[in-house]
Amino acid sequence: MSYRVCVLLIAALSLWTSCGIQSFEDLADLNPPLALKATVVNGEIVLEFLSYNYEKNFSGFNVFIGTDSSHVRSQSKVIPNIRTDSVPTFAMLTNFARPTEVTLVISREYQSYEPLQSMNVMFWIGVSAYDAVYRQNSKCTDPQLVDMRLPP
Amino acid sequence: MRNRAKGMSIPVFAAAMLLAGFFACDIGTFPANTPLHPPLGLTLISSNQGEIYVEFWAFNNEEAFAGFNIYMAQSESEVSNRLAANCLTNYLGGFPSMRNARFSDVDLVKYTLRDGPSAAPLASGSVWYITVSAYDGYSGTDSRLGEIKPVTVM
Repeated sequence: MSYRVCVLLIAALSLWTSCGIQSFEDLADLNPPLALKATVVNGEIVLEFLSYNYEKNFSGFNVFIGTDSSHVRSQSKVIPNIRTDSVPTFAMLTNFARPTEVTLVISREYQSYEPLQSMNVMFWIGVSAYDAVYRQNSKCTDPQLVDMRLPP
Repeated sequence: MRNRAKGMSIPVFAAAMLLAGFFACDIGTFPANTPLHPPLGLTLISSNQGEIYVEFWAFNNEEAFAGFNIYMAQSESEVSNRLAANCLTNYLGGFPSMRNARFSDVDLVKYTLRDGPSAAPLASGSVWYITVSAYDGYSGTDSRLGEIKPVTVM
């Protein structure tokens, strides 16, 4: 009789714990944005790239900057959203069911806002997709050099 | 004999409970593999020698990644259906179309196509729709397709 109770308890425990297993798809890295182009137009930084973020945890894009391209790759300095003072830099309400060209603009007001304020006129920039559930970034795009001195 | 019958019922009971747990938790519906990152930013350029230069961006650090499949056909719908007949084969006659090592960083990938599917020649003036996917060498499956784009052979 005690065997039966024991087996019942083990089976119930395995049932209970297995229900907490997350699907592999949830834990998979987000697809990175690719083919980034960064241009300066009238003092604003225009970021154009391709996104295929159909993942349900996708919640937006983070923009990283640095004085060296390696700083962008290591995602050490993110630009927080100026309104919420938090990440992602650009929140997205929907995900992308197909490959999509995305254009984001970092407005002039960010120039007096950290960390952009502390950058020189030339710096590197990159974009990652952001998973707000697990607070994880995808791999960054190929970093691009931005020159704020360039005429519009 | 009575004790033996009683002992046999315990593993059966345990197996039934575990099986119930397995199905109740949707473990059976897990995808076989984590999906590979699809390539993006496809650019197609035709040379004067009847070749097509293919460029795209990719980041495939996944363990199962084995290369890229290139689908090409003369209509967009044929390509989007990803039929094996429209997928280029590698020099051994298998998949992926192009073997590639795993990536440590985002990179621009370049290939030159000289033939279509089944070694069909790239006739001057013909229009081809092309797309690329990452190929999972463990399961023999593709990532989602990148963009589908047309190119006219010069």
